[in-house]
Amino acid sequence: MKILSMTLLVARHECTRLLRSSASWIIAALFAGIAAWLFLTQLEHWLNAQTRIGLQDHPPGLAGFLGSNYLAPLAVVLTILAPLYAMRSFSDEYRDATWALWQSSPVPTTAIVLGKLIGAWVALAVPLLVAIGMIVAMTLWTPLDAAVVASGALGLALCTAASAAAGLYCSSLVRQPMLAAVMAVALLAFLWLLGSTTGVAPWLDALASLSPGNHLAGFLQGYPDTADLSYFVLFTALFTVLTLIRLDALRHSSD
Amino acid sequence: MTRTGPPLLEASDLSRRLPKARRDAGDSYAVRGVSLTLYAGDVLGLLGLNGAGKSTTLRMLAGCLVPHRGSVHIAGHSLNDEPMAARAELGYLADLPPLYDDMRVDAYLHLCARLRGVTRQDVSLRVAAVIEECKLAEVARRRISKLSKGFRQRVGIAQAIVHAPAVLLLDEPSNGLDPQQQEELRSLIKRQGTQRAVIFSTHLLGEVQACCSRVAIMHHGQLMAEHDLADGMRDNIAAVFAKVTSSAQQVA
Repeated sequence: MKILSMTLLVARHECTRLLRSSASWIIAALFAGIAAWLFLTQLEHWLNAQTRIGLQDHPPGLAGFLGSNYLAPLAVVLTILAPLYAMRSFSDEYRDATWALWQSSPVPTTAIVLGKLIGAWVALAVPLLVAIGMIVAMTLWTPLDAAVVASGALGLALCTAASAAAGLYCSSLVRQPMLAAVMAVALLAFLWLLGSTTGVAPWLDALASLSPGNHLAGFLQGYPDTADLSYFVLFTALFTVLTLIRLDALRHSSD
Repeated sequence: MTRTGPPLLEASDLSRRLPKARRDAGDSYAVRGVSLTLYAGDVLGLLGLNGAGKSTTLRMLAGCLVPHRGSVHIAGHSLNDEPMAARAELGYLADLPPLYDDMRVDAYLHLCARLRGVTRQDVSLRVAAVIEECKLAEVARRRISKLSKGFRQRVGIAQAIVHAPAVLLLDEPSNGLDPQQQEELRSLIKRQGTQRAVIFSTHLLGEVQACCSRVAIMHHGQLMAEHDLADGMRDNIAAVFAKVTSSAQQVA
């Protein structure tokens, strides 16, 4: 019970700090611009391709089309964005000497890490809602498959949480927030690129299964499976545990 | 000095090795074999030159660093076995106050109180009490980034006492303060000493003479001497400090 209330306290503090920062809003505004441009472009493609789509045996609905052509590229953008939100989580604490406050407080390290992850994730809900909001707004003019939209939103949320967890871990490693963000983006970009090795060689297929993109596709097209869900949950859990190990090591490490 | 009640802080044989890169041929410890016992009402000045091991000792007492050897008990709770219970009884101000510049003073103290386990119902009362105790009323709604050095230090102390801890650890709290601010800080430390056990590190003899009931002299990571500051001793502390540090240097 105590760990839960402490986690929520830390999450609230982290989220408030992020939302108070002008950098977060600038990043969110840039994201909204990219999302709006991508959305309108894909909507135009959809309208122009109506004749061709109509000839298909099983034509995709608008929700499925936007999932593949609008949300998929946005997921890559969100993957870059999440480490930018998480980069200050620990780096700033080390640099500003506020880490001593957490180390000497009766707050379990698990609550600190989970709280910071949840806080960053909730702050990331702003760009996430912008992305999903544009699709939902289409319901004013045309019926949409709600299940496909919900599945896409869940996929993006999970992918964002996984990226934030990787960002959080990198933030726990270094004192410079920007370096933490670069490390996390490099790691995530490498994992995304692994997805492009599908079908090149059998042994590479195993590596391709580590790519977030491969596991996100099902969510965006409206047919998520438990393997994809487990992948994102395990990915997030792995980096959360690595962060816990790192923070514990800090108490033991030499100055 | 007569002491009643159980000890609030017991540190036994605290030792911490230096990082490998900083080890000399004969000197591999930042702190070695430090033992301290403090009771309610004790104000212990941890006196030593720069690099004597004062900050490392305080960081181990605060739970920020794990000692390589030895143990710490805060109000009867082992920092190793019951870290949450022990830390709940501890207030710590590091050499740099752990302040969030983008927060308001009252919001920051509110956060610190909640982190230190003050219940939601009591938070406002406790925050109001420390704002009064540390004379922060005029800046309570101001952003921390806008505060002077003296006020920042006071906010640092306020966060350390907001949960009314049994033990208060202050690492060179008067660093960078002007004489008037130092005097105010000494009064504050003296007042704290009436309610809890206080350790503060310093390299200023005058500070120890002004507000401590005991002094522990550290040199080269070791506790070289510990005295109650009875009237006679209070005046002799300079001589004792000089003797301890010079004889230790001769041995080295």
